[in-house]
Order: sequence, then C-alpha cells, then structure tokens
Amino acid sequence: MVLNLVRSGSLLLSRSRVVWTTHELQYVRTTSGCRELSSASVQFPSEARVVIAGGGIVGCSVAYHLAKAGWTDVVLLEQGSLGCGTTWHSAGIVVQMRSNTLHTNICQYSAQLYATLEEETGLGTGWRQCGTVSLARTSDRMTYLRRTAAAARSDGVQCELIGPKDVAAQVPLLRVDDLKGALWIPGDGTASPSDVMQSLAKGATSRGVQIHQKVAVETVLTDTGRVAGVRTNQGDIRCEYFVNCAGQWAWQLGQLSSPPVRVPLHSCEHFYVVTKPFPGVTNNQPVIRDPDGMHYSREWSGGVLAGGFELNPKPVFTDGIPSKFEFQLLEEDWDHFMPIMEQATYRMPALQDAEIRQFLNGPESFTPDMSPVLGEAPELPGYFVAAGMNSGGIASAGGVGKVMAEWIISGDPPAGTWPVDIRRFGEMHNNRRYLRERVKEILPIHYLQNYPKQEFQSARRVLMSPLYSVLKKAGAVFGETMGYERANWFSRPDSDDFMEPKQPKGTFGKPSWFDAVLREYFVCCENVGIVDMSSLTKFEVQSSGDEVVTYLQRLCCNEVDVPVGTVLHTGMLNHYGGYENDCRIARLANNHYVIISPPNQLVRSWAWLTRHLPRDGSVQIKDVTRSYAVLNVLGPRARELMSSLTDVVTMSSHNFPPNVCRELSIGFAPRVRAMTISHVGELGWMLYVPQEYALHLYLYIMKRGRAFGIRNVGHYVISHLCLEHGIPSLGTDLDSSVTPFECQQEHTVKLDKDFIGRSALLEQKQEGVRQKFVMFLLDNHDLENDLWPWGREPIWEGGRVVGMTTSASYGYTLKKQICLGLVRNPDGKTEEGKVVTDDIITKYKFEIDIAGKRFSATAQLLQPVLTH
Amino acid sequence: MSAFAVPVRRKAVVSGLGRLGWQVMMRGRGGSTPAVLLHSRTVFSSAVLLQHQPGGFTHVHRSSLAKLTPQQATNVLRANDASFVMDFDSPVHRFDSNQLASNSPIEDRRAAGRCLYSGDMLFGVFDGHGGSACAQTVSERLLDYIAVSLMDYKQLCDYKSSMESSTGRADAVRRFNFANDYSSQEGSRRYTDALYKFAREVLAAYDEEAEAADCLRHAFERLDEDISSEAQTKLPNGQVNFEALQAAYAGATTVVAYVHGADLYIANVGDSGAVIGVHNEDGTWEPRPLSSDHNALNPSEILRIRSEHPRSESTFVVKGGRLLGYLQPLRAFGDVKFKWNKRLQKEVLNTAYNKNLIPVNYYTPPYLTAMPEITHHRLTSNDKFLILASDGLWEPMMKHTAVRLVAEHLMGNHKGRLHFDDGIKTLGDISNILKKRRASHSAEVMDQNVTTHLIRHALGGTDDGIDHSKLATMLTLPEEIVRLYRDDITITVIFFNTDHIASLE
Repeated sequence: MVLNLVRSGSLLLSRSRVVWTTHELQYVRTTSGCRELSSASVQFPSEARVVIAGGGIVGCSVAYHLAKAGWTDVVLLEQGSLGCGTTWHSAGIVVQMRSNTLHTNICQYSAQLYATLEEETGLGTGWRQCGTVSLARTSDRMTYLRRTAAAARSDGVQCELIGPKDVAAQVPLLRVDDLKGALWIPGDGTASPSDVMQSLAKGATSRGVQIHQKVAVETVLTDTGRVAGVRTNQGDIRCEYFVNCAGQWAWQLGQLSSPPVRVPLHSCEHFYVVTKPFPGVTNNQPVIRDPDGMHYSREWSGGVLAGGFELNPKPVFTDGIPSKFEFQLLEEDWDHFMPIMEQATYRMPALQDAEIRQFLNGPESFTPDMSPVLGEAPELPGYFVAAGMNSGGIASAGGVGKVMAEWIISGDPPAGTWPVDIRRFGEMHNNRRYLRERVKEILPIHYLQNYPKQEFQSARRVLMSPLYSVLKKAGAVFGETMGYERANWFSRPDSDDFMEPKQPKGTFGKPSWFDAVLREYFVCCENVGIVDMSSLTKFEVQSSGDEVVTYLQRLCCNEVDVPVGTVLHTGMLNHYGGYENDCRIARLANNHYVIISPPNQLVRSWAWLTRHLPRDGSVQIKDVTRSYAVLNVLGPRARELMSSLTDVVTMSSHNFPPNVCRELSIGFAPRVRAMTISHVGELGWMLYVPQEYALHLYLYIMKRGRAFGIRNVGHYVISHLCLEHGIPSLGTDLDSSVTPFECQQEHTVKLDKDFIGRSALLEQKQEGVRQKFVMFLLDNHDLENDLWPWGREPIWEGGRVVGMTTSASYGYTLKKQICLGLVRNPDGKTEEGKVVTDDIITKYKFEIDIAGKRFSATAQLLQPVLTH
Repeated sequence: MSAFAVPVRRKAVVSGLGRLGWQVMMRGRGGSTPAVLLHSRTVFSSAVLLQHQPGGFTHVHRSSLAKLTPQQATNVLRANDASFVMDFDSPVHRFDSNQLASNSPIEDRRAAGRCLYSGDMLFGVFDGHGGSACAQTVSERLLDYIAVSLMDYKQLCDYKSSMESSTGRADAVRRFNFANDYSSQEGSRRYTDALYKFAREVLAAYDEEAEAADCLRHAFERLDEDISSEAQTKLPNGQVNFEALQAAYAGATTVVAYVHGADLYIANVGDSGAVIGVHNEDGTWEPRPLSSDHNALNPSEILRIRSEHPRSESTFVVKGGRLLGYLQPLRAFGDVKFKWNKRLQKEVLNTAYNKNLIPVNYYTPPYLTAMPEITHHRLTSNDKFLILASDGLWEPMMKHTAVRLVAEHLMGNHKGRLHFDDGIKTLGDISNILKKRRASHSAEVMDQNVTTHLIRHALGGTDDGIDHSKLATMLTLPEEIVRLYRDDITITVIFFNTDHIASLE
C-alpha cells in the first residue's frame, strides 16, 4: 500500500526544501521478510552512510525517516538496549501546540505518524486520539489559551475554546467550579512510548537499517574537519554522517568528539504517579492539562497517570550520568511530589480514593530555552544532533525524525528551523553550572504563566559589556540574548543614583515600560540617544590579495567591491535565496572587511562563513565580537554631538555622509571606528572601540552630550524604531525561508554578479514572490484596554488565514499598533499558494486576530530604501 | 609549678544566659587549687581564673565577641560530622556521629566498628582528661579487646591462626573511620603484641560459660592493666616510654555499646552516657537511660568507694564532689596516680616527671578503677535509636530533650522511601501522611546529621528554637575561656533497624 503520511497544506513548510515528501515510495506491508530487531546475527558493520547514536524514540525515528527517504545504509547504535534511557518511562502524551510553528508542525506530524504507523509496520503504537483539555483558572491563562487557539487555527490545528460546563461534560471526574474556561484540542492524544519506538525501529530495520545494541560510542572520528567515522567498543565504523540522538547523554557524547560538540542540555527529575483502575475513568478520557495547578493527567489502563512540572525542580546528573543507567529510575520523593499530587486530587477528587499502582521518578533532559536541540553542529560538519526534548520526546520524536532526515539528506536546514537549530546556542550555554541553573527555571516554565517579552531570570549576567554597571546604575532593565546582557529600557533615564529597578509583572496588554520607552523614543526622535550595542556579532575577514573580495562577492547578494571606507547592507543567502545572514559590511582596506551581524547570529553566521571559506586558507576570518564594544549614538542631534566630540569639519555631512566608516579619535580614545549607519533608520553613528576604551568613550560622550539632551536608551526603542520604519530584523522576522524580494530589500540585491542564491532569486523575480513581509497598522485598537499584538497573531483575509505576524509594537508617532507579518496567498491546493503582488496587499482587507478578537488592519508595503 | 603538677579535672557550668551577657558560675572550685596550663583542657589556667574573679562570676559581653554568619556556624558544627548506613543486614540501620572541640586539641575520642568474626557492632565514646593521650589509646584499642574477649572458642582459634599467619596485624574489628581519626604510629606494635597476648590468654583460659557482661568487664580491666603495665616498661634503650606513660597518667571515661542481635549491652566507666529513644505505642517518645554516671552525684558510687577503703578515709575519699578532692569521675581508664601504690608512683612517675605527684591522703590505693558498669537491654521494635555522648552534651542538655530532638529529627527528616502499611493504598491516604510529615517538619531542622542537630541545640537552643546569636557566640568564645562555657562534645546516635529487630523478636 502507499503510505503517504504527509497531507499537503498542513505540514512542514515544503517550499522547494523538502526532499522526500516528493518521493512516492511504494511500501510493502511488512509481515514477513523484515529483519528482526535483534541484530545478534548481523555482523558488526565497518561502514555506513549514517551512524545514529542513541536507540531511544528519537534515534529510531531518525533512522526510520532516513530509511523511508531511501537512505537505508544506516546503522543505529544503542549503548544499552532500545528505549532503556528515558523513552520507557515517558508518559506518552502527544500535544501539538507549541511555541513556534515548526515545533507545532513537528508534533502534528508525530500525531499523524503514530496513528498510521501500525498499518505500515504491523506493530501498534498504542495511539489513542483522545484530545487534550487545557484548563484556565485565571483570566491571564484564558488570554493565553485564546492566543494559543488563534495560533492553532492558523497552524492548522483544530481546536475549540470551551466553558467549564463543557469540561465537566467531557470529563465528569473533574472539579470545574473554579475554571474560567478551557481549550479543547481533539487531535491530540496519547501513545505508548515503547510501542511507538519498536514500531519505528521495525519500520527502519525492514528497510535495511541495522540496529546494534550494547554498543557504546567512544569517539567520533574526523578527517579534514568533518565526520569520518565512529569508534565504538565493538570496533570502528566509517561513515559520512553521525547523528547524536543520545537524549540526556547527548551532552556527554558531544564531549567525546574532537573538536567537542556543544549539546546544551541537563537532566532534571520528573515525577508522576499511576493509579489502579477506578470508576469514572473512561477509555477515551482526554488528557487534562491544568497548568495553573502544575499538573497533567491521562488515562492509563483504566486508571490515571498524573504528573507535573513543579516550581522547584531537582536537576540531576550535573557531573555525569552513572554508567549502566538502563531502565532505571531515581529515588522516590513523595514530599517533593506532594504539591503536584494535592493539585491533581483537587482537580480530580476521585483520585483521593484511587489506589496507587506506581510512583515514578525518571530523569529527562531540558535545554536552556525549552526548545529541542536539532541540526548540524557548527563545530563539526557531518555531525548532527537531535536531543533535548524537554519532556516532550514522544510528542516530538516523529516530526523530529522527519526534519532531521530532510536536514541530513539535503544538507540544508528545513524552513522554520531557527528556533530549534543547535546554532542558536553559544559556548556559554554548554557550561554545566549554567545549564544546572537554567533548567531549574525551564522545567516550571512548561506550566507557569508566560507573558510576552519575558526574560529568563536564572543563569544571567554571563556576558556583560564594560558599561554594564554604569547602565545598571542608570536604571537599565536588562534582557539577554546569546547570554549577553542588553539594556531593554531604562526605568529612570535621568537619575544618576537610581538603583535596582524591579522586574515588572508580565501582561498581555499595555506593558509597564510603556511610558519609559515612550520617553526614550522621543529622545531618539528629537535629541540624541545612546545605546550600548556591544553584543553585536563582529567578524573581521582579510586576505593578502583580493581573495577576500571574491569570497564575499560569492556570499553576499550586494556588491562588496566598494570604495574603502564604505559601509554596505547586504544579505548572505542560501541556495534558495533565503537569508542566512543580514549584515553590515564595512570595507576597512582593500583586502580587509568587518562584518557586523545581530548578536543571535554569532554561531550561525560563523558556521556559514567558515563553511564557505576557500580551502586553500587564503582568506582569514577572525571573531572580534568579544574584543570590541559598540556605542550607537542616534537621533537628529547626533551629528552636532559628534562634531563637538571631534573636529567640526570632519563631521560635516559632506565629509561624513551616510554609510561610511572612518577612524576618529574621541576623547582620549584613539582609533574609534565610526560608521554612519543606524540599524533603525534614524541618523546615527556606530562607534566601535576596543572594550577597554568603552567606558571612557561612554562617559566622555555623556558629558559632552548633556548639552544636546543625550539620554540612555534601550533596545526596546531600537526595535520600536525598526518596526516603525518597517525594517524586519533577522531572527525575529527574517529567517532562512525569506528572500530579500519578500521583504522589500531588492536594493541590496545585485543580480548582475554571481552569488549564492542568485538563481533562486532570478526565478523569483520572474515568477513573483509567494510570500511578502507587510506592515500592518491596526485600526480601532484601544491602547489601554485591548490586548496588544506581540507577534504570532494570525493574519486573516476574507475568511482565511494568510499568514502570521512576526513582531509587533506600538508606533509612538503613528499612534497605532504596528505589526510586521508574512503574508501568503493560499490557493488551497499547493503549499506555496499563488503569487503575492503589491496589488493584492493594497487591495485586500486584512484583519489581525489578537486572542480571538479581530482588528482590521491597514497594510503597507515596507519602505524599499531607507534614506538618512 | 612543674608542667605536670597536679592535673585536676574541673568543671565549668554555664548556669544562666542572661539577656545582657553571659553569667558563668564555676561550681566546686576548691579553694586555691593550683592550676596547670599544660592541662588546660581539664583545669583553667590561673591567668583565666584571675581574670574572672572574684566569686567565680564573670560577664562576657556579646558585642565584644566575633560573630559568625549562619553558614559559618554551620560549617563549624559540621566539620567533624559523619553518617554511616549499614549496607549489610544488621540490627543497626545507620549511625550519625559528630564532635565539637572545646579543648584545643579536642580530648574526646570516638570509635565504631563491626566485629569481624561475629558481625556484632561496637560503638564507643571516650572522654579524655588531663590530655587526650589516654582517650586516644583507649579509642584505638578497646574495641579490639572487647571483640577478642567476646569470641567463642572457634572464633578465637580462627583469630589466633590468622594473627599467626599474617605478617602484619590481624584485626578483630573492622572500623568505621572518621575523618579526624588518627592512630599512634609508635604504639601500634605494642598494641598489637598486647592484644595477641590477651587473645592467647583468653583462648588458654577459655570459659564456655562466660556471660557477655563478664567478657566486657574482662576486656575493660585487661586494657587498663595493659596501659598501666606498659607505662612501667622501659624502652629497649632504658629510657622511659613517655607515650605509654602519658596514656597511663592521663585519664578517660568511656561508654561502649555492644549490639549482639537484639541484645544491647552498655559498658560504662565514668560520666559519659547512653540513652535509648523508645517510641511508645501511643506515639509518645520516652528516654530510657542505660548508664548511670560515675561521679559524686551518684550516691551508690560514693558508697562503693567508701566501702572499698577504711572507714577512717570516708571523710576525704570523695571530697568536694571529687575523688580525693581531685578527680571528678569516680571511674576511669588511666589516671594511674589514683591506682598505683606509692612505691610505684615514686619509682615511675616521680622519676619521670621529677616531681612528687602522689595525691594528699593517699593511703590505700587503688582509689580508682576501670571496672565498667554493664547494662543489658533486650531491644524491641519500639527502640528506635541509642544516643551515646560524652558529658559535654549531657551537661547542657537533659536526656529527654536529646531524645525528643532526635525523634523530631527522625520524624521530620525522614527522607527517602516512605514505608506504607498495607492499609495505605490510595492517593488520599498518602496525601494525609504527607501532610502530617510536613506539619511535623520542624522548621529548625537544618542538619541532615542528627548529631549536628543535637550540638546545634546544645549550644544555641532556646525554648523557641535556635538562637543564632547565642550559637555564634558559643562557637566564637576565645580559646582561653571557652572551656568555662562548654566541654568537648562527642555524640554518636545509632538508629536501629526495626524490621531486623522485629524479626528477632
């Protein structure tokens, strides 16, 4: 029978990326002729195309999907026996809605896969589509559920907001008198983790994948800087690709290769209790999620399985996992579990009289941001990682296997993978102490009330600019990106002695920092503001001849052979024309450039740049991020201020037009690299100085700037200004699935030269774009009383969802809420939909759905070129 | 005054802790008894005495003393703590132990071990005076003596052949080592030889009928005799063996617990104490003392001593609460000054120390004995734990308080697996148990180790829990006066394996 699990229109963005969904593979129902799982008789291989380490559900899923895509020369190694790590003690709940579209799609796919896998492999998965009911005890939780429901509809997940009475009708066992409402997602369900894993393993082995148990990986062998094989306790296996699916062992396994691969995750204890059958529990009882009561429960053999995410989790195995930790649990801790149990019995009073079948404490791995760690390790080409499932291993495994298979086979990440990409983590994230601190915050976040723009509170102050203390004293409220502390806003901008602002309570409406950012905004619009942008990623590239020009010309879509001293804005695109990096490049000398990218691109852009370096070593690249501090002076009086700092003549608009880079001496600081660019469309100077000069430069500018009304401003203002000018930012709005043509950046594309992604762009120029960034101004939005847009709100047009917003904020000048969103033109048939023309955008009537309430929105095309 | 003149054991008793300062009363100070600096762990230096005259009262203002942070205080308290869980089937489930020094260095010692041949458990607490030499040697040797003494005929034969075959030493006891333990290098050969000699003699005169209590007595007495005779034996080069002499000249009180199945024997010499915590059926806790103090507060001890000496001596044999007016404990190891006859003292002690050390009114020695008082107790499943402690604990803390504290700690801090009875099956039942556990969880339980918990309360306890400032002050008393306020404290708490004991019933 033909097994086509992928229904078009609902799954992972295909674009032209998806490799194997186009394979129409014929699968024979596997009853006979498939290899047994036990591979005792099979000789240990000496060679394979892909070696997967880790025989849990994720490893089996990766093997299955590789085999299904035709890559059958795959060996899966398991140090114990299949599923002995954490798969076997999973609760097996498959919840589809996640914090980003890709992860949601991953879980959607898993649900579909588990429902149909038995047909193919003959082994059941225990799948039961019983749905989930997420309960809300508070109005904030209800808002959260409404937002989730809105996003779910756009992601193609069927859902319904229901009232307490409906909950009682669904599950009569529940107490509902304190509920505000609930979200019912009928497509969710439960599965039996070990069965799913066995079924996937069988699906893999029947296609030729070899599974070897009791084989431990000792190291990953490399040759000329990429994976060449695996050394195990049973012998070496030569391979092209290695996939680390070792779950909570993945960190340790990452350390075994040379260079070591960072897999930032840490184990935490996770508790649940299983009861014996008791009356009232039905076969198809939905999964109950009661986040305000920190617990979940599902039906289990006529009884109930109840577990939770406590506020005071217990990290475990910081110093390594004991050997032979196979089918093992951790010590029971009833006292620790008590708050969860109290909540569970409160919600389901019948549990009081339910007899205990088992109490489990099993370790599970958590990552620094609660998203999985997937993708190719930046340290070692050919080394892939799929780990860190944050208690969602069963829900994610199916889709993760598919994504990983696409990724390995095509060599490029599938669209939308940035939130799960391993390259979002830097070296600080892999520190054990950091991880131990952070996962204590991550585990409760599953069920804690989350708010927009929430910052992590734990494991902070890792990387700090030299100005940190000064800014903190000035009232800076810090946020974190890539471990770097950045001032988001200033609670008392003009007071020198103001100390320790309080972290405000989150909200879905008007935030507490509104007025503070408003003040900063007008500083930037009327006088001059100063922002510490030291967190920016800075690379220097050079060569002895003009090799560096050739190198950058190939990577950048804009012309880089510009006069020395010029700053240019360019994208670095992949083969599909999508952004790998959106950066500024300054030419310091004929054969010397500096590349400035957003902070979150540190690892990703480094990987991209080094991957394309000429093999002969003629181009040298250096990461100078940690060497330089950056001050951004922006606003209409910036030029006046700069003139007062140095020679007036030098700073005239004639001598210092936009987009130039000059070295100046400011105060006692020699050789300050000043660039007239502003990341936000306002007149501004970026001043690059060695870290040691930064404080001096800052104090000097502040002293001289007093006459011009200079103020500290934070990064919230920068993003407000960006949004008001319709500038999408990389990482938040743009990712590798968006081309310059789709975000009105044609002026940075020079099609008359050759660069990576040119052919895709040429094609797109001819055919037209099928998605486009659009700026929306919300009409009739009440600033005070309506909920605010924050990004990830569905964009409606004529009864259909045409896209999602990516970021939003209030336009202080326009006095309207501004959203940026990616708009498509779905036709109901193809995934890409029809061409999005400028006409459509101006003609259509759009609405933005904020937590269920739709606001009509005026669409505007982004400004094509920024003028200073 | 020579260095070894008249070491006298003295007690300082904290009588009250006023809000304004510390009030200290020194009880039983006998006139102008000379004090010795070198033995300042049992007597005050005269300098300190003068400083705190007149009337034996003094005020030390809290503000004048360095304070500790709670964490620092905890670090001090936990420096010597240890906890051992028995990984073999035994009537003892685990034991905690801790020491806090007042003297510098500490004069208390402790030991714990398992008899290699019988599997029985032995625990000892040794409180030295006049230096730590005697307590040290007793702590190193007594458990082996007891183990040998308790062996049956076959075990003795096995032990004899093992000690004859092995080139080094054959142990009779496997010890649980404490971090601050040390053993005497010099004495090790001497100790082994003496032990083997003892073992051979026990074997030669093997008495099948001997009761455990007799064996214990025998072991105590024999060790004391060996200590005494070793002090008289000169080194091969004709010199006095000062280490052996010092061990015999100093003294030590001792309490030993011997656990043989459900039979518990307490052998006590001096004023350390043992008390069992009994959990009654009605849920209350009750202390059951298993030792009596051998000091002047114990009338039967005074009667015993008087009866051992001519009636003419009865007025001064125990005077001012002290043996012959000098020594507070009325039984002890060592202290040969109260055991040897005058001739021997003149010959050995006076020659070695070049000073007449014979106590006044010394007519009919010996006045002191190391003969232990043995208490036998048949353990039941209601007996949950045994506290062995030096008098450093029993001075500031009543026995019932100690039992209450350990019981609370045991109930509130009972981490790990909950044992559910057959009746407990539902989440509701467990929830109720957990609620009770949470309620009983005393907020002041900061120490996993119950002996640390006891020391914390002994020093900083008030009716309302721990007063940190009191604790910090007690821990930071200057070295010269700390002994006025508290003695060395050594505690070992043995938790019984109720299941094991129930199976023996």
